[in-house]
Amino acid sequence: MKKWLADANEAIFGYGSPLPLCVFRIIIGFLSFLSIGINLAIFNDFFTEHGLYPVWMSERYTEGIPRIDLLAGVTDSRVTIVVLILGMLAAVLTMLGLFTRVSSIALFVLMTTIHHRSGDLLMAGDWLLRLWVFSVAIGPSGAMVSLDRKFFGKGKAVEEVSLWPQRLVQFQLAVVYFMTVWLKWSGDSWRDGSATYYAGHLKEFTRFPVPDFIYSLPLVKIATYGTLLVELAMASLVFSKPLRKWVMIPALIMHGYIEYSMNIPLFQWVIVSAFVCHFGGEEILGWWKKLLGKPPFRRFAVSGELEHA
Amino acid sequence: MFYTRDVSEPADQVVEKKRGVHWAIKVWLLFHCFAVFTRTIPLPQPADHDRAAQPGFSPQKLDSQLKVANLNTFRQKEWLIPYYTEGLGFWQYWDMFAPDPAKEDIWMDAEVELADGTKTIVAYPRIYEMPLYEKFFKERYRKYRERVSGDNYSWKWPHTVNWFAIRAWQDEENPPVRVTLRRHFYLVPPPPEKPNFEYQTYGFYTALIDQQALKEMRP
Repeated sequence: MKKWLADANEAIFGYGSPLPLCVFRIIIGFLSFLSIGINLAIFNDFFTEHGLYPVWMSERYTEGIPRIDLLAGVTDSRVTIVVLILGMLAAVLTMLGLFTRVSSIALFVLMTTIHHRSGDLLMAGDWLLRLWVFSVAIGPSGAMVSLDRKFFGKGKAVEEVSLWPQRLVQFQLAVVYFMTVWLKWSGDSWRDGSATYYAGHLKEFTRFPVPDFIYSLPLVKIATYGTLLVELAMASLVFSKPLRKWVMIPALIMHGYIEYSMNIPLFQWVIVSAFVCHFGGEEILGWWKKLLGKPPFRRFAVSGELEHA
Repeated sequence: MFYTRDVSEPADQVVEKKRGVHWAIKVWLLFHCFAVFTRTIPLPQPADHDRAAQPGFSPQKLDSQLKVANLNTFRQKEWLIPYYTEGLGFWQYWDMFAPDPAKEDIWMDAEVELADGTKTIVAYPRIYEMPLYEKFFKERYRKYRERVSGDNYSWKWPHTVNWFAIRAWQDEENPPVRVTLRRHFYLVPPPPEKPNFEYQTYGFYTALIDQQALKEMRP
């Protein structure tokens, strides 16, 4: 028992490179910028009192629980647009890694505010992005590949850090996949293998065309049960290092297919971005070195920089 | 560019530092993971309530009992966890295409009757008809349509009719007087049968317009 606890402690709180979380920060900052920016295109209809979703509607969901909401009771849309723009600014600063701790905490508070103002517009990808921003905000995500590092940390050593914020991302990702499989298993169409047929015939979701044979019964069954298997594996087997790659490749294919065929903006990118947290810093560094060694990218390799690593 | 560990630095820069994570962080992390887990356990369906009350043991019954017990305990405010998850922005629920994907394609518009008796149709943005880039920026209209046209959201309809009425109001002397919200839908049949993609129309809410409320809402 003692050994098991020690192993669990090491697995969750052990030390390593902050690089995966720093790469994650860049992606999440960029996606947050897009996610908040999209709201500008629909601002009048969903963020003003003249639109479809005035403040009183959003307040109906508070259920008597105080919430992080800088816009609580604010009906002046000029204030709302300032919050959106500040959110986009915080996203850019997070992506660049400038004043990372402050900018990522600000991003989390502003994004949560925007989500509480516009709860009925949100998709699963928005919720997940907010949770990713939280992990970025509490972790040492500005320690590398950041302007903080460039301006304030030059010449200083990057220390190994406890990896628990990265583990939190891995846990949250596993929860997403596990719970969706659990819920799907109580649905008739997932059990009888027909679920992907229905989703593929909804015109409101169509993006790029899909050939008809995709909807033949055998392929529908493969796609339906395959989805369940891949999602279950992403909640479990992905934690095994030897199996990790073999679980992630079909998961990437699955998300890639959904991204191609269905109009669900950002969700696939938001979920796939967290895959990076299943890897260690040395592995990411290895890919980077390999990439810079290849002819089209060789010119980006600045002599000596990688030698420190 | 990339530094991964202090041991890679020159020896004079390596500083021995105490390692370890404070126990308070460990306790919080455990609690946070537990809160996330209970917040995301699927909500019980009506059949789960029946099954959970049945005698005997089966894996299905255990599944139903877990869902019911979670809803009746940790999801209730008395257990305080909702104050943490809802208040601080950790709320989440993973029901994409679950428990079943939608089997109905729906879009919405409204028929607006003006004071002189003429009728006009006011469109609600429809994703299917948009070019690719616009689909990306305006997908939230589709999501909101899901959360306004269903019967669960009937409390929003009196406000929604005003939104449509304003868009039909072109002539000051001829204001909108009545609005009917309409759903257009087709059902996707079970495979291998193909859907016919022919939409049926159903007026799901009609209201006389309160002129005062309309004037107040007008930009």
